[in-house]
Amino acid sequence: MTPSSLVASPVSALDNKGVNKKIKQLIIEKEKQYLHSSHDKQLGEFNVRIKNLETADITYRSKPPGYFWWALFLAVTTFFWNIFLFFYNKVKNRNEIIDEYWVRNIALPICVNPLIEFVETYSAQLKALNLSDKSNMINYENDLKGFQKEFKDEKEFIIKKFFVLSIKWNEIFNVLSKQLDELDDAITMHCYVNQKISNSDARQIAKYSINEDVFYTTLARILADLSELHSSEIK
Amino acid sequence: MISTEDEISIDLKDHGGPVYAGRTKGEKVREKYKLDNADVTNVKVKITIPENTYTINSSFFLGLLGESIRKAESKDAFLNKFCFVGPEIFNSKINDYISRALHEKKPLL
Repeated sequence: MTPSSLVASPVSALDNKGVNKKIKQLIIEKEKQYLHSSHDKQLGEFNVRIKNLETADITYRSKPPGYFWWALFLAVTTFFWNIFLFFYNKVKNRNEIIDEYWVRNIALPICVNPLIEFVETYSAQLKALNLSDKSNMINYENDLKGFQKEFKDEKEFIIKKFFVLSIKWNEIFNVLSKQLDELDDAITMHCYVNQKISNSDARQIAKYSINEDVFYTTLARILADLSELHSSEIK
Repeated sequence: MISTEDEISIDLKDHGGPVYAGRTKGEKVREKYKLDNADVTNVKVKITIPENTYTINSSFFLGLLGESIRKAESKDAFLNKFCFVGPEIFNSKINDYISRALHEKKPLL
């Protein structure tokens, strides 16, 4: 029941009985005071509730659901997997450049295959020379000179082919050219001691004479060096 | 061996022959004439190849002069300092050997 309803009937009664305006005014003032005090009370309650809300601990403390840990696990795994893939692809691309381009397209067709052909050709020629009839010394000497000149020219040509490897692998070029130089030295001494102009005795001839094996020994060394280089470059 | 302040003269007939082969033999001759020092001075070097030379192999030549060629950095610069006297038959070989020595440098890539 509101205060205004309590006083409504007395005010109406007073009006009907001719009560003066002053009394009526007084009742209105009282009602206003009551309304103000009621408003102030409600406002105070409202402020308290607001204050309680402001100071209330409303932190969410419930446990995360089970799928959260799976999602976190997948996110972390994906992150590290992507890092691994990045480095793996980087190394793979580098290896492909070395293996596919430098080894298969450059080293093998330009350098190694001609070298193998060179070894096969001149080892066969040396074998034929060693087995040839030496009774005709002039013919034999001419054959030796011809073989030596052709061998040296072809060796220099093979070394020039290896120049392309020196662009990337200078060390291997130096090693390979030195091995071919050693083969050249052996062939030179063989040809020289087996010619009459050398006046070599049997001991010297035996010391410096070689057979076709020297070609394959050199080839094996060169291929071993190339293989080592390939293994060290491909990681 | 003739050696003055301005010129070093190397006659290969004093160092074996008629076959000049082997890198170590070339390096020994290089050491004997102290060509490492000559490379950094203005001294000229004259190399005489005997007429009876059977062959000069790349191994001997590069052992003797490979380092000087690389220090000169070009064929022209090398031939300005080093001159060769002897049978012309060896000229083309010497040119090939100089090219090779210049390739025995650091890789381009």
